[in-house]
Amino acid sequence: MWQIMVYIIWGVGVVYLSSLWLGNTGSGGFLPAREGTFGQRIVAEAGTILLSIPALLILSVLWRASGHIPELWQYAGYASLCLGAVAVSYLQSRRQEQTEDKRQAALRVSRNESGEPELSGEKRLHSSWFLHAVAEEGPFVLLLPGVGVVLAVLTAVMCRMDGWWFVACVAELLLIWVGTAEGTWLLIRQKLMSVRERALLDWQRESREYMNTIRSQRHDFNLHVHALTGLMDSGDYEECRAYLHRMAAEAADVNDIMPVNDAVVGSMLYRMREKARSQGTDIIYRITYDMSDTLCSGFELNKIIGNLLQNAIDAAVTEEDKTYGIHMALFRRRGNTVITVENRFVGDRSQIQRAFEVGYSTKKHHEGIGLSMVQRTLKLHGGRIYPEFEGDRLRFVVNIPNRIRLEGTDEETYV
Amino acid sequence: MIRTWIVDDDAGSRVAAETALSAYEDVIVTGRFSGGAELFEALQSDRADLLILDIELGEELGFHLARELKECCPDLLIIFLTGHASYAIDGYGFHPVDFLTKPIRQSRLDEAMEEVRRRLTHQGTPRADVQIVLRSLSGSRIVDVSQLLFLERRSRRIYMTTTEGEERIANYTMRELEEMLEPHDFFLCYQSVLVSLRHITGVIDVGKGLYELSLKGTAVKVPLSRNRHDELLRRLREMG
Repeated sequence: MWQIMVYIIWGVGVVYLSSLWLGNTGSGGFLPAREGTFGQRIVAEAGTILLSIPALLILSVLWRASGHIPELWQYAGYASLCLGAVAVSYLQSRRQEQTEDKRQAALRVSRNESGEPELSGEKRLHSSWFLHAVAEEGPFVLLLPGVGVVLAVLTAVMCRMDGWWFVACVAELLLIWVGTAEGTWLLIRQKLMSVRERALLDWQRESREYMNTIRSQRHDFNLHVHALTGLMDSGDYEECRAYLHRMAAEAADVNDIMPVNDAVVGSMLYRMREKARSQGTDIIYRITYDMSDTLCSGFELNKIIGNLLQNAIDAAVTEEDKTYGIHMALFRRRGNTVITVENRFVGDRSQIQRAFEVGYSTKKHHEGIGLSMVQRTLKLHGGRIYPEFEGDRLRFVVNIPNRIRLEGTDEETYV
Repeated sequence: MIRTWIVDDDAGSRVAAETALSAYEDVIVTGRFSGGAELFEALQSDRADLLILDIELGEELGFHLARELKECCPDLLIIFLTGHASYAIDGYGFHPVDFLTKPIRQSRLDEAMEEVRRRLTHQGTPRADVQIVLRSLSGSRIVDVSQLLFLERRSRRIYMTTTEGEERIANYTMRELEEMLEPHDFFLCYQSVLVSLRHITGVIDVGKGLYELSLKGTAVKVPLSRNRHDELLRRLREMG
């Protein structure tokens, strides 16, 4: 009886440690193992342990069938296996934390005003998921299954196993190994899925907001007709005129942005102007290109334009005279998409020269990665950004190549 | 005074446009038309400086009118006005002064009228105080566009010549430089030379179909390639 108890405690220990491993790679647990307090993590691990109970039962049955009572040095062999698992688990979790920190650092730049990270910061490094995982997590990913095999062989040799005992031990190690490999794979999938899904959700949310603005104008139509009829009937023409002017301004706000094809970009432009207005300045858009052939994705465009507009707003609110506002133009020139963002600037021009250096910022409490990140994103697509001064105005000019569609084919070529 | 005609099939829209234009003292609306036929009839006997043109004129499209107008009166400035913002993308092919959507936003019309005045008086050039930032060998350099005479690629290096002399800058492709400087009236007069149109004082025919450009502020002559000759003259004429 006590032997069974020993087996069970022993098994729980091993399975728990392997579950730590599994938990860290995200295959089990009710909560993601890396998040939350220590207590929450333990709860998460408990979930993994529950899932591992069937494995424990199989092991117990196998051990009993072998009739083998392990000796002290065999315990030691097993303990070393467990320690190995802990070490691997720890190393991997550190690695993940570092990756996550890097990701967060990249995301912090592109948080929108409601504090949500803009997922434009996420980018697949390789077209193949596998290569992407290796690039993202490091070659360590490849080592994990290998480490499992090495541990299995080492333990088998150290414990001088034979018969059922050998089978039981190898079965358990295989379970850990498979769990780890599968867990790693699941983690990668989960991460990539979450990037794609969250990006999609973001896109949907943004599009919905934008569509809602347009839709609500349509809904408001009835209301407006009602109100205007009332004002006309009662002969209050002055109020009627004021009402109409407010309506016209509201309609013009959306019209300015309408040419943009991508709802995500449209929505960002709309929000940025709201934001500028709430801070006492304004953005005047002059958009004559829909960006349908621009080489950047909507998210990248958001990151580029959003950063420039944000900088302009930050600069404009410190100005005493906010009447000039921020002027943004978007047009096509010689097979390129050109975006210019202009605002009044009276400071030191050499500051602007340095603005593209990483870590340089004229603003307090700022990471100073905005412009250098914009530049990096642009470089990926063969685009560029440069500043120009005109009178007391500063203008950032962004140039992004367009793709050219060859007539009659779906082929695309780049210039 | 800027003589302005309004073409719109909707009477209310015409009044709205005229009201918006009444904000400018130098604008006088001398014609109001509901379609192309009326417009071309009026053109037989009269002229305007500026045309406010609606795009959806009943059956016909304002674009068609714009195309015909470019043929018969190339100097007529056009501002498109439409309820459909998406037309803007096609509309710019006609090089209008601007493209405005209904309802008119006065601040946008202000900008458009500013551009109209610039084009009418050929004052488009005095944007002389523009400075651009170029990457230099030691970082970057702020350059006054008005002092920049030409840029040249020689043995894979880029040299810029300003009124102060020649200086080597970081490597750019000529295409990059052309895209950056074209809006400031620079012209690729030779495969490897980008010249400031504002500084050209003369085109010298050196024989055998070869040309050189003399520039204000330097004794250096800049080559002009034969197949760019006509284009250059056209650009210079456009600038007045």
